[in-house]
Amino acid sequence: MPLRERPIVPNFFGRGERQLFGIYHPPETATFPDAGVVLCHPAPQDYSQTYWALRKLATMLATAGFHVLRFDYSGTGDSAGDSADATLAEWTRDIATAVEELRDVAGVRRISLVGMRLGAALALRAARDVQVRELVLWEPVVSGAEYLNSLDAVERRRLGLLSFPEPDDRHPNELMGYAFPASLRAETGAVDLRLEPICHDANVLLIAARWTPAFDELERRLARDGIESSSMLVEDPVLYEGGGHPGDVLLAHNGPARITAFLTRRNA
Amino acid sequence: MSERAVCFGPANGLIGVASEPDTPRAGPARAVLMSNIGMHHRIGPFRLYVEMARALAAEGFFVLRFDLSGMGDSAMLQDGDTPAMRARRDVKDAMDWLQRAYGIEEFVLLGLCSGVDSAHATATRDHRVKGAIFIDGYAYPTTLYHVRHLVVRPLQPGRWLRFGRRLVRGERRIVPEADGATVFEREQPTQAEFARDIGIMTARGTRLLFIYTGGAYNRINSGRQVFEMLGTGVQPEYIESQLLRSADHVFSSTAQRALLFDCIRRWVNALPG
Repeated sequence: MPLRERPIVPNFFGRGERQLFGIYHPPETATFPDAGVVLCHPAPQDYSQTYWALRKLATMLATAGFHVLRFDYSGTGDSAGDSADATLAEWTRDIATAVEELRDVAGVRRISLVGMRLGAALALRAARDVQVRELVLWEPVVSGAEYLNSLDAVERRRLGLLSFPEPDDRHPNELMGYAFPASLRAETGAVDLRLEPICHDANVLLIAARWTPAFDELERRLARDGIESSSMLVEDPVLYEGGGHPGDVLLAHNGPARITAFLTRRNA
Repeated sequence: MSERAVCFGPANGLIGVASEPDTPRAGPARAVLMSNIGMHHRIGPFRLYVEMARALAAEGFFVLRFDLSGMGDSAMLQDGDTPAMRARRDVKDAMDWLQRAYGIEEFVLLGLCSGVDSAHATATRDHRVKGAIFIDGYAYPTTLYHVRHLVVRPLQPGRWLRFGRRLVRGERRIVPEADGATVFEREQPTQAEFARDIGIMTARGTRLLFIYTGGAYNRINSGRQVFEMLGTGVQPEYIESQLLRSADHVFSSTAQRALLFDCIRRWVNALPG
């Protein structure tokens, strides 16, 4: 029975107990035999809602000729570990491990990172240690403090809809249903892409479906630091626009298409 | 416990993760299967299936969580079948793969929400299914449901809290967004078909655990309602029913998931054989 798409390769990789789950999308053409793209998921709170969009992006990139790896950070998705033990520092190291894996599996030298939401902040941090040619910040979390405020608002709304509220529905070490220890909250709250050091070697694309003043500030910062960058506003649904129902799925089409076009142009 | 990524089914297009116990439980090897729910992939809501798979594997069960065709990471087949037909074949392919890979011949299917459709259909037809767990699955309001509804509804604290808040703030009633059940095409049995199917399962000796949450309270408001729905054509000793009123439909807190795990762990370990 024929498949409608090219087979993909799921696997666990990494060292020792910290096995990461990843899916390698082999390229459909030999257009960019030396170019690989690692996709960096958002935080667990946005992970399920954006999974479809990142899979779509991976498929588009593989069709365009890129080697693609998307993977789950430690303690998230199918990867080993518990989200209660998660740290942003570990997730950033996981990106470096994934880059190493893609280099091993596909033999590529040129690496691009695409990070979505909090994944954009992690990709930006990882790019300081990993040689990256392009860095795509897709709906990036620019301010961790503002991000936490927005998730807290979604959480409050969700709890307000419960028919049988219980005293332990809102545990202090949870956020939107996931373990979220105080240390992770502090680390996330400290994220500020307007201030953090950024690797000057990568070409940065900032892409979003809804523009915010924080994106303007990030754009100005990139220009001030002399980092080659561009921005795109795309017509796509916006996460949590309907209020943050747990069953929401971000059906983004234009974002993946524009990111694929950007990386194709850059690698041509 | 260890885990491995697996591909199976036609053209190896179905993707899943198998959790393997370090020490399989005594007696016949048994595997628990969990498939994705709606458009969300195999990890389950709030990573529910990952945590449950690892907990059950630690107790000696093989567990496979996987994506149905065209969902999550699994490929869409060009076969012209309906999603329901494809889902039933996918579950069968998953059992066949477990049988080949580990020699397992007894299976427990777990379905939540729309995941109940394929679990129910397979449990009706496949003699290898020794147990099935239906979470917020089919429910049919009964006469007693309506009686309880009139009595219980005014006692729901959340309802009064929301009413009071709306009154104070002058807000309009919030209607939640459409959930997966209204987006996906589902082939749900009538109440008579449901009772007939459950009768077939229990006559074969298949044990059934029905779990309902507060999120299904608009359809079911008592743990006993399953027996009201089924009538007399089933063997009630093979059926257990739990109403976890404090849990919502997707078990969106650690406390709710702990409640569910306890319920499932106890039931699975008590299965005969």
